[in-house]
Amino acid sequence: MSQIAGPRCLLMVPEPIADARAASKHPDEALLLGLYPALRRFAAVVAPAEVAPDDLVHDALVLVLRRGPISDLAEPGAYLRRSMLNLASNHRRRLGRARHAVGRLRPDVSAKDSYPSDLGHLAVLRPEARAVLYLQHVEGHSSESIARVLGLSDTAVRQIAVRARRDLRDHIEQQEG
Amino acid sequence: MAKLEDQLTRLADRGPVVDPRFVVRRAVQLATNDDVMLAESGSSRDGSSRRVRVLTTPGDGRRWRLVGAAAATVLIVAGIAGVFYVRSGMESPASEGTASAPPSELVPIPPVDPTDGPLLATPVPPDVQPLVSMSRPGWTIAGFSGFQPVTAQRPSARCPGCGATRLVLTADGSQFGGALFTAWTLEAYYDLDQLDTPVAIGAIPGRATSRGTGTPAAQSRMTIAWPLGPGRTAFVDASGLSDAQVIEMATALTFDSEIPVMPARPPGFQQIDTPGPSSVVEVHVNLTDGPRSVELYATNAGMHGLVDWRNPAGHLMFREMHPVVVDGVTVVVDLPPADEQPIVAMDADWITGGWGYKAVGYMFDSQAEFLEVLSELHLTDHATFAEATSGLTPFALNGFSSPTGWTSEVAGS
Repeated sequence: MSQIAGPRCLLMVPEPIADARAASKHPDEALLLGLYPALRRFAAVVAPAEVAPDDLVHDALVLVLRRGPISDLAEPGAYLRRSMLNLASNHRRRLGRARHAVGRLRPDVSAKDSYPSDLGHLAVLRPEARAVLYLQHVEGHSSESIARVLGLSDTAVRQIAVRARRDLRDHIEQQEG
Repeated sequence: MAKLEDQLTRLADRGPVVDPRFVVRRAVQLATNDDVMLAESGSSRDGSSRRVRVLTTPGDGRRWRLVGAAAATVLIVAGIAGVFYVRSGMESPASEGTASAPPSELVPIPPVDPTDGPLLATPVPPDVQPLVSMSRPGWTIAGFSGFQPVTAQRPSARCPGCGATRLVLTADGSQFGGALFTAWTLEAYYDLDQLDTPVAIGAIPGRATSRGTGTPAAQSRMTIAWPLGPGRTAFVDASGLSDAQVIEMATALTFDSEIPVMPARPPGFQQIDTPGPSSVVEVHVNLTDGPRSVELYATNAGMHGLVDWRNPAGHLMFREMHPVVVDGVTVVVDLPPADEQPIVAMDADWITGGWGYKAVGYMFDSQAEFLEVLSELHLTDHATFAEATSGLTPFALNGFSSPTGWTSEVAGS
């Protein structure tokens, strides 16, 4: 199951980056531009609906760049994803409290979406759970690989995935029932 | 499953398209700007909000107006907090968003001391590295991290549960199979809003996050933080206790020394004292035999390593654990699902000498088989370990390519 033989390249830098690297001004810029599409998609999955994905990527980049060059990281894609996930979790907590506070001030205001979408089901999951499902089902990572990307244990990843699917199923059944 | 994949894909593609160059350059500019701390805290020197937003939030209808109001509330609070941080000369709250730590400062690598004996029962001092081999035929080392400093040597506002030397109280005679209560201090301000609900520790207001309420006691976990004064914050992390019990025990703590003290412990609780090393290092080895494998994580902080938030395999408080005795050593294990065959994954944790160990076993037919394999892990010498790992590239546990010292020697030999 867990036959790790060395460091895994969790987020490959695309080929065209080699050319772009030479043309960029900041040493990390070309690398970041190469990583950007994947980071942006990940951000869209983990960020609360109120937070624009590009804003989340931007905030994570600022935080990580302040600590040193991105090129010093062995797995910059994985590290940036972890940073985005942490930021998304903080956003979720803070927005949750703000919604609660606003709801108490204006109890007549409904927070329900006027245009319900099947993507709304995913919003019941924590950012970490959405990240696990996305990396598993869309990017096709193994649980070991996801564990390394997100800084979790393999076991934790499996548990999160199982619970996320169960929570989704329960939520959908509740909505439909 | 295809439907879920489709939904996740559409979620990943949501939102308007922005030129990545704009976002990246703005981030680089902000990160390298002298004024970045102010920008990150959400305030300029005159106190006005100047946090750069790359995009405005798309809005439609009253849901978004509500969200806008909520976001405005968040920004106002963040702005006020930012002014407070800047004026206090403290760490920006924005930096607390990442639990993953920055590149650690490398500490001198302790000398290797080749040794022998069963890993479970042989005490290894915290400044000596356990090199592991398997006596059972068929097993090989498939990966290892080397001997590297952990990513955060001391607790910080970014990760207050990392690197802390704690008061550790356990509720049973087998050390750490039952309820756990840990307490420590962070010598820094901490944004209590990171935790969910208000609590009172005596007369002091704090905040807490409680998980697992309503589940069996051993699965519950509560984390509390409250201020002890300017630049000092108290933390409690406990599992297997009710919220009321945790708050009651937290109220009984005194903080006159670096490590909190509980002068009158509840009946049945005992204090676990494990030596604290001068620098905390961790090592990971992955052993396989066909479909079965064992991931072994070791941290030279004894009990403190097992409850540390940065434990790469997840710390003890994440799940219900049960003590068993293997070769005379108390090992705590989780209970795998009764109908799972083979067992996909199971954990075992133990402390021997200055080291805390966590082993994760995959695809074993039974827990007994897993524990049997653990009992056949042996300490070995440097040359044997180097031979067993030849051809493997050590990887970094913390995301940075900084394994140094003997790890490099092994890789290059």
